[in-house]
Amino acid sequence: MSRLLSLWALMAVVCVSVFAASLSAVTAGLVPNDAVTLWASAMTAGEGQMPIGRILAAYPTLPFLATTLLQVVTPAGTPTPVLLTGVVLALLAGGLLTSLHRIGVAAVVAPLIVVLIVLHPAVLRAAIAGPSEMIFTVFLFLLGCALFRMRARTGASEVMAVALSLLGLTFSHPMGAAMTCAAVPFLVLAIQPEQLSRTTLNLVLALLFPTVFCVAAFSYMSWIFPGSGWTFLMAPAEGVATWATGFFTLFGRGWSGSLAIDAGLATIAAIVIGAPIAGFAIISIWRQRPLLAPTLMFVSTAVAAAVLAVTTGLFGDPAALAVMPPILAATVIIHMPPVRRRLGIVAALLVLGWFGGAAALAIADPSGAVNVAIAMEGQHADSERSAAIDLGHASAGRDGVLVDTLNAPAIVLGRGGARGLLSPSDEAFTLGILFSRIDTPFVAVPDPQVGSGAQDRLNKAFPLLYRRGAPGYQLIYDKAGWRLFGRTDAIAGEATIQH
Amino acid sequence: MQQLSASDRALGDILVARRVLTLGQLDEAIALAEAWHVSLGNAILSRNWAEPAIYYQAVAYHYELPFIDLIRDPPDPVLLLEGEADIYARRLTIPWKYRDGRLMIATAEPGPETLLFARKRWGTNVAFVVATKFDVVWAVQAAFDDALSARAVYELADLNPELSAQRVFTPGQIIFGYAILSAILLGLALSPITTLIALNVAMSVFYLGNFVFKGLLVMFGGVRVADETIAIEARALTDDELPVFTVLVPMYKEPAMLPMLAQALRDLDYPLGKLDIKLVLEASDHDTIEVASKLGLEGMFEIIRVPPSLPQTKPKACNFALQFARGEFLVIYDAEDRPEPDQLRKVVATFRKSSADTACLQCSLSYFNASENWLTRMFTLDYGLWFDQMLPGLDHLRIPIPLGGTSNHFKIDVLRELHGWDPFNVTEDADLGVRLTQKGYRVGIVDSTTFEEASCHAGNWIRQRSRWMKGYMQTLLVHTRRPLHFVRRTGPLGFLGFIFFIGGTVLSGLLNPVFWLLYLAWMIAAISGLEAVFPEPLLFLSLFNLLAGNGALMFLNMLAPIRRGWLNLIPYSLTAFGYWAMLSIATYRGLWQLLRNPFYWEKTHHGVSKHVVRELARAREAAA
Repeated sequence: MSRLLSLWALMAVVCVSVFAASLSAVTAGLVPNDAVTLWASAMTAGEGQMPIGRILAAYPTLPFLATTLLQVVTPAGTPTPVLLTGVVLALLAGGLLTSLHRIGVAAVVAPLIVVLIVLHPAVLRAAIAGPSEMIFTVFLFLLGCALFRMRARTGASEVMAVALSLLGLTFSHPMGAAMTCAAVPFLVLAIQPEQLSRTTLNLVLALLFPTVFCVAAFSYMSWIFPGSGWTFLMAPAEGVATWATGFFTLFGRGWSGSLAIDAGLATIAAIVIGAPIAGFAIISIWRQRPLLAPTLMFVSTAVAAAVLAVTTGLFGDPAALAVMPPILAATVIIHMPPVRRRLGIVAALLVLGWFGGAAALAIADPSGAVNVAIAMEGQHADSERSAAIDLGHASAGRDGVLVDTLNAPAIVLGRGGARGLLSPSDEAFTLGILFSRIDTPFVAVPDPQVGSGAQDRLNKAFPLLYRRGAPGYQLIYDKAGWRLFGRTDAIAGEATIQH
Repeated sequence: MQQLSASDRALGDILVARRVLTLGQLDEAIALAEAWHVSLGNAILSRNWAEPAIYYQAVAYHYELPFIDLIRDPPDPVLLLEGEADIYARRLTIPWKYRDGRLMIATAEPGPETLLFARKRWGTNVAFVVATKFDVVWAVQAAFDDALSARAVYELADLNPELSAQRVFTPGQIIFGYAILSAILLGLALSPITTLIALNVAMSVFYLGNFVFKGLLVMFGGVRVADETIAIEARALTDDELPVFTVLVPMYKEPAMLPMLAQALRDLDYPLGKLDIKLVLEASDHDTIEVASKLGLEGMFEIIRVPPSLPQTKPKACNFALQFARGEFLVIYDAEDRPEPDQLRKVVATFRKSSADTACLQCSLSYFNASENWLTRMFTLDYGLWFDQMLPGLDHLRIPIPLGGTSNHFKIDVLRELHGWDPFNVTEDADLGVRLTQKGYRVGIVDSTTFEEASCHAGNWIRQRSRWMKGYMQTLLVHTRRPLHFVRRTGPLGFLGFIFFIGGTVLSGLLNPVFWLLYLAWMIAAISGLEAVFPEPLLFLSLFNLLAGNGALMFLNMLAPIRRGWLNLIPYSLTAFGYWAMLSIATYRGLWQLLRNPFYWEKTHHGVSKHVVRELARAREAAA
């Protein structure tokens, strides 16, 4: 009973702390663009404003569907991604505590270990980054545990656990997909040697089948439903650039001369600094191959995933791997009896890892570190997003606003919903661009000279729209690089701004 | 070890004196009888060292009783009571005739126990004659053919009609089905697209629920590891601790399988003298009866001739034979079965350590000809998923276990209490497993495998599978007649598990072609510009079911062979689509038969695989 109470108490504390931290991060503009896009998309889908084709093709699928579902069932105005992140992390904390209890870790020490892991700077960073990275974190932990179990006994349920963890990773975050790809050559390390003598490749086929099948099915669905496109394959490309910019800002010309190798080295450095317990664990179990092999496999996969992400540019910002150190720490504590027998050392190394984690973050997520520095100076880390949110506020209550929400999803957040917006998935938007004619009640465009304004679809179709407006429209809002024009008949009686 | 009785020692001496046995054989027989804790006669007959008639003549001589031939001189029918037929068969003792004012009792087991029993049953004015046990069994059969046969057919239907498949649909079920059909038709007439979407959603929920449920079963069932403890406990059982075990082998027109079957049963690591093996043959199956009679089988083999009656099903034959069974436990094997030698010992050990309410233990089934062709490989994957992964999952979650065709071991008292198998149900085993749970008993799993012959021809496979599917439908219909009762007995999880496991298996067979056809229709519609007929939500649901459902089941199939290390079968899971197409054909065939000919038993032909043909040829060569 007391264990159950402590479990619930711990989960509640974790959920509330993370909720508060994430909310502050949202206010400070520290949330990555991906998370904002996800939130805006979930709002749009939750209000029934998104065609089924786009819902089906939305990626990362799991966080998107979970956020959308939460958006539907919670009252308007609930910060659903933040809530989802808090709940997921609380569940992770609960799962960790239960596992520690099950393996016989003392009831007093277990919550301390859990707190040091789930409130590790890297996990907090993942929580701030939104549901996608949080769900990625959970699947990373599940994969780690599944690998250890599969190395001990390659049975059906163990194979199933690894296969489903890989599937979950792939559909929770682009870096999860990178992890899955990177895992392929290392999977044999996690298979019981007795099974290796048989047809190993067939077992690898079973391990990868769910992911390969679902990716194929996902692609097929994206192809079948008009308007969905293949965005999930292309979207994250800019993430690598963001990571590289941050890395070069912090470390000058880099370490090795190759960005891909630097990414791998950064992951290793982050693990060494953020999870000193991993080094201790490896030394403790050096001769125990059933424990060593999955550890090396897990770490190698993460390093290879970072290299792969930077090399291909397909999987976005490798910063998501910053969460690897605490997850690795949790996995080795649970699955390595020689390690957890020395609880004093474990606790000390976790504390050390907690402090090291802050430094490790700067290495694994350099752009995030830059943003934190900006926020600490009291500035908004992303002024463009801030401007879009302001525009959203200003356009609230107006119906029929033609705007490229895919380029500036924060508008949806600022408005508190997508209803009344005519976005690229709407027919009015498509027809407007196709016939080069605007006749919606309102139209909003960003300054094409500033940041992502050049990517705005309306600016591309109507290059002079921002500067001159459209015939029959009057400027009713002009702030921080955004202009909102209203059709004369739609704004009769409203105050306008003269050019 | 128990010392041989003085009476048996004397009998041994007579047999040697009559040159029926050599001294060496006698010593060996005495050793066996003492080790097995059986009579000397059982030991001798199990080794086939004496012709039964000669042995029983010696027994008669030893007890100074007359020896009679019950076939030539059958019992007086007036003396026989129909209600006592099973007692005669089990005691191997039967009233024969009145002679000189005394009731003559024919017995194959003369001795103090029989004397006490006879005096208690027929009074003190009795005298005894000796007959062979085969004659006694034959005499009982000859006298009560009709009665025993009627009992085999109608006992369950008469005493527990709500659990019998004799009535295919109850009025309540017909009204329910009619109401559902009417509602669908009305919906289609008034709002076709909405109705189609609603139907699709309902199908999707069940379809996906089915896959999720099966996934959970594999997850829980896959955790199960080889039970080394039970193997050790089985080895530790001494022969005298083992009870008499009845083995029923129902066969029909399979004379060629007999030598291999007999060898497989001889190979069992169980005292042969404690085996009560009954070859259950249809009386009209003269070929098999003739081969069995000429094979010179040991004394533990008995032939039970099942009189012709309808329905001509395996459960009816088993019910008939059950009335002659003498064991504490009973198992059913098919003619082509190869049980692992220590199976019966493992079963006894498991029963001994299981809870008192455990009435049945199911062993795993697998195939010895898995690599013969694509169909046998797929069938092996299917069986692996069912027996190695999902049944242990059901056991773990305490969900009723539908028994598999053979290698289910029963406590014989419970089996009799439940009136045996349902002769009207063509998957009587699945039905009995659920009925046991409904009656408050538990069905467990034993870590032992019986290897069978997988159907290697499509026609044969479809015939077999259509019978199974029809049987699952019958089982589903029977056990959902009183849903609240079922829930009370098994709990909500048990009820849902049963619905998904049995109902889900049938429904996926029925629904797969629907989704495939919907998909095809959509493609045709898309080509011909009729997309409007398929609104996006409908298309999405159909596609989702098609992809998620089929993908999930393919993956589960890949996990199926892992437990046995048959990893070479994994890639064949990718071709499961063809197997499901055959499964759907069999399901619709089963449905058609359920409506047209519900009790018809589709015979599966055995002995056709290359493996068996080779073994038979080898056996023939050896015999030559």
